[in-house]
Amino acid sequence: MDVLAVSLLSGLSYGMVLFLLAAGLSVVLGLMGIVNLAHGSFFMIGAYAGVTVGRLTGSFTLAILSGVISAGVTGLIIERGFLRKLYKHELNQILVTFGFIYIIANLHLLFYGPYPRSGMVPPLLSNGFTIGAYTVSFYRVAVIAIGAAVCVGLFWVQERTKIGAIIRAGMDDPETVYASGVNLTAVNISAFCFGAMLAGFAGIIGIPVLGGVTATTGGDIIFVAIAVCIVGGVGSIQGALVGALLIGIVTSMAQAYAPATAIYVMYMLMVIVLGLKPSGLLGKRS
Amino acid sequence: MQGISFAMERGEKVALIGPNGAGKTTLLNVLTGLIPPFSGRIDLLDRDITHRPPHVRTSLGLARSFQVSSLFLQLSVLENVLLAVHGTARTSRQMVRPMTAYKSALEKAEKLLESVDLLSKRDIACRSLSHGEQRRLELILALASGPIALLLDEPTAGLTTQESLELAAMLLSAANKDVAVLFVAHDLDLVFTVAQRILVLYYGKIIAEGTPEEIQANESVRKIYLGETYSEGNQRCLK
Amino acid sequence: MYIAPVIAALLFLAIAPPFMDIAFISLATRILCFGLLAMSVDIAFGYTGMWTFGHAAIFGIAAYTTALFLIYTHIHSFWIITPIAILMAAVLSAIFAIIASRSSGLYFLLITFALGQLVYSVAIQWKSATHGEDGLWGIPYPQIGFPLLSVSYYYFTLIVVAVCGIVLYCFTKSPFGYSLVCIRENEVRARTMGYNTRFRKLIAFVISGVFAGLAGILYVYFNGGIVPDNIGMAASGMATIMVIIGGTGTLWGGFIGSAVVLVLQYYISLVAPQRWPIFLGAIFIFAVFFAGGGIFPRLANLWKRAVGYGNLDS
Repeated sequence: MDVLAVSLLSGLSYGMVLFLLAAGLSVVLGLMGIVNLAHGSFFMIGAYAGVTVGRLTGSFTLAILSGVISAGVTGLIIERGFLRKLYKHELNQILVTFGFIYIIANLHLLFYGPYPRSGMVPPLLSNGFTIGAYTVSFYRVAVIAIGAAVCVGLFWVQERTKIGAIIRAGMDDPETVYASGVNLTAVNISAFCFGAMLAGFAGIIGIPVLGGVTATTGGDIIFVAIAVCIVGGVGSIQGALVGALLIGIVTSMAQAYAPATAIYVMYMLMVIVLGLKPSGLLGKRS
Repeated sequence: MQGISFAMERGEKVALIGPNGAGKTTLLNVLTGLIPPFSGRIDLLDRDITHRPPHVRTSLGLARSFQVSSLFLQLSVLENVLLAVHGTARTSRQMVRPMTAYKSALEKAEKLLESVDLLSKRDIACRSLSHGEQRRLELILALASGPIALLLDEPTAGLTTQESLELAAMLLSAANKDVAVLFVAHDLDLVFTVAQRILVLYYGKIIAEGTPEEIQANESVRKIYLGETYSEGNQRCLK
Repeated sequence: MYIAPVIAALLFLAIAPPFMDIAFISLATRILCFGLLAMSVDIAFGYTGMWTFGHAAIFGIAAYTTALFLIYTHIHSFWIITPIAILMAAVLSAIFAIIASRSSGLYFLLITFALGQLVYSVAIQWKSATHGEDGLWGIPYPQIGFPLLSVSYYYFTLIVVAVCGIVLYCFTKSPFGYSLVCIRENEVRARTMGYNTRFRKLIAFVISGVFAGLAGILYVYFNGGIVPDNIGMAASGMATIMVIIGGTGTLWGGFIGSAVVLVLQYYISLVAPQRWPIFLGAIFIFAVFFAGGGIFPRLANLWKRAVGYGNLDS
């Protein structure tokens, strides 16, 4: 029973990190039809930048800011410099962003070395509470809370604001949106960069949950993000949330009860969902 | 679409007309199996094909051409026709000998090309053909499977009336006399010349059916085609 | 029309090696192996239009099967192990194709990408069998009846790859092979022409997998071993970019792409081996913007003009 509760909490916090990571990818994929395999690299950039600045300055806030900004800037460079020339050519986007995975990863290896970096936990949250024989850190609970708050905020933007409406309209019928005088391009770029910043944010707050970051994290974590999109469905905040929490919780349970299967669990979920509903649990049928 | 029900005789030439958006292409898509119907059934030669996939319907004798030329642009004219011929032949699964080595398929392809006067262009890439040539190729791609029922979606789209009539003549001579043809068209001259029977589709329903003379005399049809553009008032009149 | 350059290429490949440094022979063998992999990817991707991004896993399963047999069992005959390894590759391809079959294009790619990574994870995790990241080593040259060394293994590979090339070439010219191009160009039309496109795509993917597996088998003997990195996303990506650089849908383009990438890798690794991934990433980006239709079509056109043929369009 304790194991269940702990692994559930653990899974929720992991799931929230995944949500923050994948939300940007999912919406950009559904909105602009852009595949960005380097999205995981934004996560890694945010993590490394945050940790470095955090160590230097001792400030968790600055760490978060630097993580978010560096990820956002990278996103802007990739989108404006390369992706905007490849609009509607998904295969080329894939190849270019795939190339970026390697460039970014190797640069990080060059500057930071091969050893993993562990994350920063603000002193306020470094303790925990016990459930049975286990300790659950307050940090994880905070991550769940932050994730939930961001989720609610994003959902509100998606459903209740003009920008959200533009984005959703842009997904279904871009031509009409352009025709009605809205600068959909600006909105799309902002969405892309915002997604990158979210991923960077996920990176910096996620390291303690994941256990560390290395130069390979960017390439490793993109698969999880892809699995989240496939399982939950692409193009909506709800889809990203469902996919992320499902994968997070099931992985965590597997780690607790059958550790050898833990890595495969997300692939199994993916295969099952593909068999039942190829467009994802909350995805729209194409 | 609602309440669509019609039958065709062997060798009958039926035209399907109606304003844009009436659902003509959709009807063809349902008949060929690209879109499943909500209810109802489709029979070909007394065989229920309602749940059969498109490729099976073609092998049973249903062929279709497209409104927008759906050719394999990178390939040559001959290659296109050969592919269409092999599609329903037993040779389609062969993996060893070159496609052009199968004599009977090659002869059939050449004969088809000849019937629309494209034999001289056999080795030219499709993307280099003129629009009229592409429509002719589009037609024989459908004929290549030796169908008993032929569905043509605006076969003369983009052609002049003269070219349209030529194409119609080619079709009538190239196709087996037994082939039933359902063709969608906007060119009423062509329709009244070629069709033995006309179906008029309006917003998903067949509102008239009959010989060219009957249709020409039909009040509602005249309102649609000869009257002003559709308005609320008219719809109530037409029931 | 192309007889002269083909014969020239074959002659060069056959005669040059004994005069070359052992390192070049090694590089040439590697180019042949990956060229075969690229060719197999071209069948699925270039000809049939299935965006596969996990082919290295299929390559890998055949390589690992071979290695496992050689290390853990007493069965060492090339003629027994190879068919089994190829069968594994075929089965894995079928599984990939079936799982991804209800999605197309982009999503097919993401799914095969993830599935490839799944196989990679197994290779890393299943330490008792695969020794994890260290990989399996100590693989001798194949026992085919008479001994093979590095130079003779090059010729062995050359012959096998040449035969595969001819087989695949005939396949692409056959009715079935041509129908794959139809499916890529206009699947709806292909279906209404009487082609069972779902079935054909599955078969094409499995055939592609068979040759990818064979490439893996040739590679593991050449390399003396196999590591998970050889079968992960880097390898799958490389196979795809080789096809793009060489020319999609051209079959032989795969070898040109393989030569370009591997020669670059060889020289860059002499100078800055740790930084190779940056160059690999740059190759991807460069190829997207500058490859055009690929090198092979350009060479073919040059030859055509040199011998006085016009273009197909005249």
